[in-house]
Amino acid sequence: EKADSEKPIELSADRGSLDQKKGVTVWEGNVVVVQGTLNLKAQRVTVTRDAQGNQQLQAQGSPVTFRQKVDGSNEYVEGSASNVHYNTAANLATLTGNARVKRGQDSVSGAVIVYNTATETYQASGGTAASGNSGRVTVILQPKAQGTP
Amino acid sequence: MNRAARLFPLGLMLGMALLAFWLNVLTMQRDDAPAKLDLSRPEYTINRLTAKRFDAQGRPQQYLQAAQMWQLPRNPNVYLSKPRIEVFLQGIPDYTVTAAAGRYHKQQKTADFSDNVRWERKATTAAPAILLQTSVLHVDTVARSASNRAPLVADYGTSRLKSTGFIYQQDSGQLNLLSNVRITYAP
Repeated sequence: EKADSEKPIELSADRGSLDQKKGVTVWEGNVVVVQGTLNLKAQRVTVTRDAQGNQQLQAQGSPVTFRQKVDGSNEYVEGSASNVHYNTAANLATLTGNARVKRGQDSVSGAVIVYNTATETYQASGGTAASGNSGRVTVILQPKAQGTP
Repeated sequence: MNRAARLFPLGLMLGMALLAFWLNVLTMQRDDAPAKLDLSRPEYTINRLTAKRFDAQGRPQQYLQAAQMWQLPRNPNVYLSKPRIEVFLQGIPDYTVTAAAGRYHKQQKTADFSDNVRWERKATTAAPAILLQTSVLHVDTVARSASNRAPLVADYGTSRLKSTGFIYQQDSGQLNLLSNVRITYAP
Protein backbone atom coordinates (compact mmCIF):
# COMPACT_ATOMS: atom_id res chain seq x y z
CA GLU A 1 0.00 0.00 0.00
CA LYS A 2 1.08 3.58 -0.62
CA ALA A 3 2.05 4.26 3.00
CA ASP A 4 4.70 1.56 2.69
CA SER A 5 7.13 3.90 0.97
CA GLU A 6 7.27 6.08 4.07
CA LYS A 7 8.13 3.17 6.34
CA PRO A 8 11.67 2.06 7.26
CA ILE A 9 13.17 -0.68 5.09
CA GLU A 10 14.31 -3.72 7.04
CA LEU A 11 16.75 -5.92 5.12
CA SER A 12 18.40 -9.11 6.28
CA ALA A 13 20.78 -11.40 4.40
CA ASP A 14 23.53 -13.91 4.98
CA ARG A 15 26.14 -11.68 3.30
CA GLY A 16 26.44 -8.29 1.70
CA SER A 17 28.94 -6.51 -0.47
CA LEU A 18 29.22 -2.94 -1.64
CA ASP A 19 31.27 -1.74 -4.58
CA GLN A 20 31.75 1.87 -3.62
CA LYS A 21 33.12 2.91 -7.02
CA LYS A 22 30.36 1.36 -9.10
CA GLY A 23 27.68 2.13 -6.52
CA VAL A 24 26.49 -1.48 -6.62
CA THR A 25 25.32 -3.33 -3.51
CA VAL A 26 24.71 -7.09 -3.53
CA TRP A 27 22.86 -8.96 -0.80
CA GLU A 28 23.07 -12.74 -0.87
CA GLY A 29 21.57 -15.72 0.96
CA ASN A 30 18.08 -15.73 2.46
CA VAL A 31 17.48 -12.11 1.56
CA VAL A 32 14.33 -10.67 3.15
CA VAL A 33 13.24 -7.10 2.51
CA VAL A 34 10.35 -5.67 4.53
CA GLN A 35 8.90 -2.19 4.14
CA GLY A 36 5.54 -1.70 5.78
CA THR A 37 3.27 -4.37 4.26
CA LEU A 38 5.72 -5.17 1.45
CA ASN A 39 7.67 -8.37 2.05
CA LEU A 40 10.11 -9.67 -0.58
CA LYS A 41 12.17 -12.87 -0.31
CA ALA A 42 15.00 -13.80 -2.68
CA GLN A 43 18.37 -15.55 -2.83
CA ARG A 44 20.18 -12.58 -4.27
CA VAL A 45 19.35 -8.89 -4.53
CA THR A 46 21.48 -6.43 -6.46
CA VAL A 47 20.85 -2.73 -5.98
CA THR A 48 22.31 -0.14 -8.31
CA ARG A 49 21.89 3.60 -8.21
CA ASP A 50 21.96 5.90 -11.22
CA ALA A 51 23.36 9.41 -11.34
CA GLN A 52 19.97 10.86 -10.42
CA GLY A 53 19.86 8.72 -7.29
CA ASN A 54 17.14 6.40 -8.59
CA GLN A 55 17.62 2.85 -7.46
CA GLN A 56 17.17 -0.29 -9.53
CA LEU A 57 16.67 -3.53 -7.65
CA GLN A 58 17.29 -6.93 -9.31
CA ALA A 59 16.14 -9.92 -7.29
CA GLN A 60 16.81 -13.55 -8.16
CA GLY A 61 15.45 -16.57 -6.42
CA SER A 62 13.89 -19.96 -6.82
CA PRO A 63 11.56 -18.24 -6.90
CA VAL A 64 11.56 -14.66 -5.72
CA THR A 65 8.34 -14.04 -3.80
CA PHE A 66 6.75 -10.79 -2.73
CA ARG A 67 3.60 -9.83 -0.95
CA GLN A 68 2.05 -6.40 -0.41
CA LYS A 69 -1.29 -5.18 0.96
CA VAL A 70 -3.58 -3.46 -1.49
CA ASP A 71 -4.22 0.20 -0.67
CA GLY A 72 -7.49 0.76 1.22
CA SER A 73 -8.36 -2.93 1.24
CA ASN A 74 -7.66 -6.03 3.27
CA GLU A 75 -6.55 -7.85 0.14
CA TYR A 76 -2.97 -8.69 -0.61
CA VAL A 77 -1.13 -8.86 -3.92
CA GLU A 78 1.24 -11.81 -4.01
CA GLY A 79 3.77 -12.45 -6.75
CA SER A 80 6.51 -14.89 -7.60
CA ALA A 81 8.99 -15.30 -10.43
CA SER A 82 12.53 -16.39 -11.09
CA ASN A 83 13.59 -12.74 -11.47
CA VAL A 84 12.07 -9.50 -10.27
CA HIS A 85 13.40 -6.16 -11.46
CA TYR A 86 12.10 -3.13 -9.62
CA ASN A 87 12.59 0.45 -10.81
CA THR A 88 11.93 2.84 -7.95
CA ALA A 89 11.56 5.88 -10.23
CA ALA A 90 8.89 4.27 -12.41
CA ASN A 91 7.31 2.18 -9.62
CA LEU A 92 7.50 -0.78 -12.00
CA ALA A 93 8.21 -4.35 -10.92
CA THR A 94 8.97 -6.64 -13.88
CA LEU A 95 8.61 -10.33 -13.11
CA THR A 96 10.22 -12.77 -15.52
CA GLY A 97 10.40 -16.57 -15.52
CA ASN A 98 7.27 -18.44 -14.31
CA ALA A 99 5.80 -15.13 -13.33
CA ARG A 100 2.65 -15.24 -11.29
CA VAL A 101 0.64 -12.50 -9.55
CA LYS A 102 -2.37 -13.24 -7.34
CA ARG A 103 -4.73 -10.68 -5.87
CA GLY A 104 -7.45 -11.98 -3.66
CA GLN A 105 -8.91 -14.86 -5.66
CA ASP A 106 -7.80 -13.50 -9.06
CA SER A 107 -4.49 -14.53 -10.56
CA VAL A 108 -2.48 -14.11 -13.73
CA SER A 109 0.57 -16.04 -14.85
CA GLY A 110 2.83 -15.85 -17.86
CA ALA A 111 6.42 -15.47 -18.92
CA VAL A 112 6.59 -11.77 -18.11
CA ILE A 113 4.39 -9.67 -15.84
CA VAL A 114 4.88 -5.96 -15.33
CA TYR A 115 3.27 -4.75 -12.10
CA ASN A 116 2.85 -1.03 -11.36
CA THR A 117 3.07 -0.63 -7.60
CA ALA A 118 1.63 2.90 -7.77
CA THR A 119 -1.50 2.11 -9.79
CA GLU A 120 -1.57 -1.50 -8.58
CA THR A 121 -2.19 -2.71 -12.13
CA TYR A 122 -0.35 -5.38 -14.05
CA GLN A 123 0.28 -6.38 -17.64
CA ALA A 124 1.18 -9.93 -18.60
CA SER A 125 2.73 -11.38 -21.73
CA GLY A 126 3.47 -14.93 -22.76
CA GLY A 127 6.96 -14.05 -23.82
CA THR A 128 8.50 -14.07 -27.30
CA ALA A 129 10.01 -16.75 -29.48
CA ALA A 130 13.36 -15.05 -28.93
CA SER A 131 12.98 -15.38 -25.19
CA GLY A 132 12.08 -19.03 -25.67
CA ASN A 133 9.00 -18.38 -23.65
CA SER A 134 6.36 -18.01 -26.30
CA GLY A 135 3.85 -19.52 -23.93
CA ARG A 136 0.47 -18.20 -23.15
CA VAL A 137 -0.90 -15.94 -20.47
CA THR A 138 -3.40 -17.39 -18.04
CA VAL A 139 -5.81 -15.13 -16.20
CA ILE A 140 -8.24 -16.43 -13.61
CA LEU A 141 -10.89 -13.96 -12.48
CA GLN A 142 -13.20 -15.24 -9.80
CA PRO A 143 -16.84 -14.16 -10.22
CA LYS A 144 -17.89 -11.71 -7.55
CA ALA A 145 -20.56 -13.01 -5.16
CA GLN A 146 -24.06 -11.52 -5.83
CA GLY A 147 -24.49 -8.01 -4.42
CA THR A 148 -20.78 -7.26 -3.91
CA PRO A 149 -19.45 -4.31 -5.92
CA MET B 1 19.20 0.09 -0.19
CA ASN B 2 22.31 1.33 -1.85
CA ARG B 3 22.77 3.55 1.13
CA ALA B 4 25.07 0.96 2.74
CA ALA B 5 27.89 3.22 1.62
CA ARG B 6 26.67 6.00 3.89
CA LEU B 7 25.96 3.60 6.71
CA PHE B 8 29.54 2.42 6.89
CA PRO B 9 32.44 4.74 7.92
CA LEU B 10 34.54 4.33 4.81
CA GLY B 11 36.82 7.18 5.87
CA LEU B 12 38.28 4.93 8.55
CA MET B 13 41.44 4.28 6.65
CA LEU B 14 42.76 7.85 6.63
CA GLY B 15 43.23 7.90 10.38
CA MET B 16 44.93 4.56 10.31
CA ALA B 17 47.52 5.59 7.75
CA LEU B 18 48.37 8.61 9.87
CA LEU B 19 48.58 6.36 12.92
CA ALA B 20 51.32 4.36 11.23
CA PHE B 21 53.27 7.56 10.68
CA TRP B 22 52.94 8.52 14.30
CA LEU B 23 54.01 5.30 15.82
CA ASN B 24 56.96 4.92 13.50
CA VAL B 25 58.17 8.37 14.44
CA LEU B 26 57.51 7.99 18.16
CA THR B 27 59.21 4.63 18.32
CA MET B 28 62.21 5.40 16.10
CA GLN B 29 64.80 3.97 18.44
CA ARG B 30 67.52 1.36 18.09
CA ASP B 31 66.11 -2.11 18.05
CA ASP B 32 69.14 -3.82 19.52
CA ALA B 33 68.09 -3.33 23.12
CA PRO B 34 70.73 -4.23 25.73
CA ALA B 35 70.78 -7.97 26.31
CA LYS B 36 70.18 -7.72 30.06
CA LEU B 37 66.68 -6.18 29.79
CA ASP B 38 63.77 -8.32 30.97
CA LEU B 39 61.96 -9.09 27.75
CA SER B 40 58.62 -9.29 29.53
CA ARG B 41 58.80 -5.80 31.00
CA PRO B 42 58.48 -2.59 28.99
CA GLU B 43 61.72 -1.09 27.81
CA TYR B 44 60.04 2.31 28.09
CA THR B 45 56.61 3.68 28.84
CA ILE B 46 55.05 6.99 27.90
CA ASN B 47 52.18 8.10 30.11
CA ARG B 48 49.36 10.45 29.17
CA LEU B 49 50.58 10.67 25.61
CA THR B 50 49.26 13.55 23.53
CA ALA B 51 50.72 14.03 20.08
CA LYS B 52 49.41 16.63 17.63
CA ARG B 53 50.01 17.10 13.95
CA PHE B 54 49.22 20.21 11.93
CA ASP B 55 48.60 20.87 8.26
CA ALA B 56 50.34 23.34 5.97
CA GLN B 57 48.12 26.16 7.27
CA GLY B 58 48.96 25.29 10.85
CA ARG B 59 45.52 23.86 11.50
CA PRO B 60 45.10 20.66 13.54
CA GLN B 61 45.24 17.56 11.29
CA GLN B 62 45.38 14.70 13.78
CA TYR B 63 45.67 14.09 17.48
CA LEU B 64 46.91 10.84 18.96
CA GLN B 65 46.28 10.38 22.65
CA ALA B 66 46.78 7.39 24.90
CA ALA B 67 46.72 6.79 28.64
CA GLN B 68 49.94 4.89 28.19
CA MET B 69 52.20 3.66 25.42
CA TRP B 70 54.97 1.14 25.86
CA GLN B 71 57.23 -1.22 24.01
CA LEU B 72 58.93 -4.43 25.14
CA PRO B 73 62.62 -4.99 24.45
CA ARG B 74 63.35 -6.38 20.98
CA ASN B 75 59.61 -6.58 20.28
CA PRO B 76 58.21 -4.79 17.19
CA ASN B 77 54.83 -4.19 18.81
CA VAL B 78 53.89 -0.85 20.28
CA TYR B 79 51.15 -1.10 22.88
CA LEU B 80 48.66 1.63 23.69
CA SER B 81 46.08 1.77 26.43
CA LYS B 82 42.98 3.89 25.79
CA PRO B 83 44.16 5.08 22.39
CA ARG B 84 42.20 7.92 20.89
CA ILE B 85 42.79 9.15 17.35
CA GLU B 86 41.06 12.34 16.30
CA VAL B 87 41.18 13.33 12.64
CA PHE B 88 40.47 16.87 11.50
CA LEU B 89 39.36 18.12 8.10
CA GLN B 90 40.70 21.59 7.36
CA GLY B 91 41.10 22.13 11.06
CA ILE B 92 37.57 21.02 11.92
CA PRO B 93 37.08 17.81 13.96
CA ASP B 94 35.96 15.08 11.51
CA TYR B 95 35.92 11.81 13.42
CA THR B 96 37.49 9.93 16.29
CA VAL B 97 38.58 6.33 16.81
CA THR B 98 38.79 5.09 20.39
CA ALA B 99 39.33 1.72 22.04
CA ALA B 100 40.36 0.29 25.37
CA ALA B 101 43.55 -1.16 23.93
CA GLY B 102 45.62 -0.88 20.77
CA ARG B 103 48.66 -2.61 19.39
CA TYR B 104 50.69 -1.49 16.44
CA HIS B 105 53.05 -3.90 14.67
CA LYS B 106 55.87 -1.76 13.28
CA GLN B 107 57.22 -4.22 10.73
CA GLN B 108 53.89 -5.28 9.30
CA LYS B 109 52.44 -1.77 9.78
CA THR B 110 49.21 -3.26 11.07
CA ALA B 111 47.18 -2.03 14.00
CA ASP B 112 44.78 -3.99 16.18
CA PHE B 113 42.25 -2.31 18.40
CA SER B 114 40.23 -4.16 21.00
CA ASP B 115 37.54 -3.71 23.62
CA ASN B 116 34.87 -1.15 22.91
CA VAL B 117 36.20 0.04 19.58
CA ARG B 118 34.27 3.13 18.40
CA TRP B 119 34.56 5.06 15.14
CA GLU B 120 32.50 8.22 15.58
CA ARG B 121 31.67 11.19 13.41
CA LYS B 122 29.52 13.95 14.89
CA ALA B 123 26.43 15.16 13.06
CA THR B 124 26.90 18.13 10.76
CA THR B 125 24.46 20.29 8.86
CA ALA B 126 25.19 18.07 5.84
CA ALA B 127 24.98 14.61 7.37
CA PRO B 128 23.74 12.85 10.48
CA ALA B 129 26.11 11.35 13.01
CA ILE B 130 27.81 8.03 12.26
CA LEU B 131 28.85 5.63 15.00
CA LEU B 132 30.47 2.24 14.40
CA GLN B 133 30.90 0.00 17.41
CA THR B 134 32.65 -3.35 17.57
CA SER B 135 34.90 -5.33 19.86
CA VAL B 136 37.94 -5.72 17.63
CA LEU B 137 39.31 -3.96 14.57
CA HIS B 138 42.31 -4.94 12.45
CA VAL B 139 43.83 -2.32 10.20
CA ASP B 140 46.51 -2.97 7.61
CA THR B 141 47.99 0.40 6.67
CA VAL B 142 50.02 -1.14 3.82
CA ALA B 143 47.18 -3.06 2.17
CA ARG B 144 44.93 -0.15 3.18
CA SER B 145 42.28 -2.48 4.51
CA ALA B 146 40.24 -2.71 7.67
CA SER B 147 38.50 -5.88 8.85
CA ASN B 148 37.18 -7.91 11.69
CA ARG B 149 35.33 -11.17 12.34
CA ALA B 150 33.22 -9.86 15.21
CA PRO B 151 29.72 -8.43 15.44
CA LEU B 152 29.54 -4.76 14.55
CA VAL B 153 26.83 -2.12 14.64
CA ALA B 154 26.95 1.00 12.49
CA ASP B 155 24.40 3.76 13.09
CA TYR B 156 23.83 6.50 10.55
CA GLY B 157 21.24 8.87 11.88
CA THR B 158 18.25 6.63 12.57
CA SER B 159 19.38 3.91 10.11
CA ARG B 160 21.33 0.98 11.45
CA LEU B 161 23.54 -1.73 9.95
CA LYS B 162 24.53 -4.90 11.76
CA SER B 163 26.88 -7.57 10.54
CA THR B 164 29.23 -10.19 11.87
CA GLY B 165 32.58 -9.55 10.26
CA PHE B 166 33.53 -7.16 7.49
CA ILE B 167 36.40 -6.54 5.13
CA TYR B 168 36.93 -3.10 3.63
CA GLN B 169 39.50 -2.49 0.87
CA GLN B 170 40.04 1.23 0.44
CA ASP B 171 41.72 1.15 -2.97
CA SER B 172 39.05 -0.97 -4.64
CA GLY B 173 36.28 0.66 -2.61
CA GLN B 174 34.94 -2.81 -1.85
CA LEU B 175 33.12 -3.48 1.42
CA ASN B 176 32.12 -7.06 2.25
CA LEU B 177 29.80 -7.77 5.14
CA LEU B 178 30.58 -11.36 5.99
CA SER B 179 27.49 -12.75 7.75
CA ASN B 180 24.29 -12.05 9.65
CA VAL B 181 23.60 -8.81 7.83
CA ARG B 182 20.67 -6.77 9.20
CA ILE B 183 19.91 -3.30 7.97
CA THR B 184 17.21 -0.81 8.90
CA TYR B 185 17.00 2.14 6.57
CA ALA B 186 14.87 4.86 8.05
CA PRO B 187 13.19 6.95 5.30
